[in-house]
Amino acid sequence: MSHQNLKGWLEDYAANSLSAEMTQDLEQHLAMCQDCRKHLRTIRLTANILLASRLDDAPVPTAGFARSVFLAIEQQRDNYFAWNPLRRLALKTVPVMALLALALGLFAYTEISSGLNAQQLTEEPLLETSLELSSKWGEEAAVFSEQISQDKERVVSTLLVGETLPPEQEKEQK
Amino acid sequence: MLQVKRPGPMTVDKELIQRCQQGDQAAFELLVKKHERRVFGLVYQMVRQPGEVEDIAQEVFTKIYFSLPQFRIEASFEAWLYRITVNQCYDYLRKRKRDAQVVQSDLSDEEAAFFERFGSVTQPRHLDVSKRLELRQTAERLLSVLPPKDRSLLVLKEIEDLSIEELTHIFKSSASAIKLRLFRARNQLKAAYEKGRRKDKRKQPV
Repeated sequence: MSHQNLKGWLEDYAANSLSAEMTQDLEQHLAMCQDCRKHLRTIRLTANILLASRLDDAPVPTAGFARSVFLAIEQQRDNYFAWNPLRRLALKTVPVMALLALALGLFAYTEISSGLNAQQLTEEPLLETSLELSSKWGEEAAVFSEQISQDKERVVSTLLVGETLPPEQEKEQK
Repeated sequence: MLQVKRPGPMTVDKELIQRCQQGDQAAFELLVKKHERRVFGLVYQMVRQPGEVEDIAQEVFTKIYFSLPQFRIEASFEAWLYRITVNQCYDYLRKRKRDAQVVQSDLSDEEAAFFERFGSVTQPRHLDVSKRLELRQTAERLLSVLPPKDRSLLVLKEIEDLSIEELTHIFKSSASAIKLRLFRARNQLKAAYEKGRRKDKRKQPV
């Protein structure tokens, strides 16, 4: 058993509340340890000073003490019940108000951020639309130019084909 | 929660508290009568002013009455009662600023022998009235070096015979913090005692 553990038993030893086995262990240690002997002396000395301080008798409550307590209660009741609910309400209100302020702050933040998002969203489709439109126009222009080029080829080929038709085909056409 | 040391009275307390919480004034009167002596004794140990004890004790019970509706029945009534009493005494001592009146005491060999002899105070009946008064006044002067919080801790430990665990509930501190405070308070008191012894020896003719 360590010195610190045995030192912790001194309170109980001074109060005679250690078991016989523990008392024997501690007494063996006390015979060797000056620090523990010094601490035990301090415990006993201070306990004696405290006990000596009550060598006179404390005032004894009178027979009517309980009655006087009730009178004091009656005198304070109005004040207590007038102020105490208000105090309790204030104590309850503070956290509620803090929560409300927090909730309001969060609400305002979400509202502002969603407003900004909405604004961004309304701006972005415009951009998308213009892009889409431009790309659509590009596509249409590409299709148109392709059609033109195809038509041109067809006209050219028709013209060319017309010039180079065999005589039998020309007769059939006539 | 606080370990129940004396199961009988505690059970009675719980029954009385439940009745008080239901508005039974007779139950509160019984509760006051049951604990009034203990409160008077503790208040006197703390403030040492016989004329003030009744007023402070009255304040303690008034506070208990108004706080009873919020008292949790599973908690220790004794620890709660001690806490309210000690706090009420602090309030009184703070107002009075009693700490400014610390008086160093000279300790005669006879007084020192009395304080040093184990068990001498537990059987004080053999002392005559004047000797008892003298010893009490010397002890009181020595105790005046302690701040109210340390004094209340020692009073509850040595006079009310409360355990470290019970003290942790009253002072809302850990067991190690209570032990440390007890250790420091004892050393402070012993230092005052040894100073008194040195002063007395200097006064003696060589």
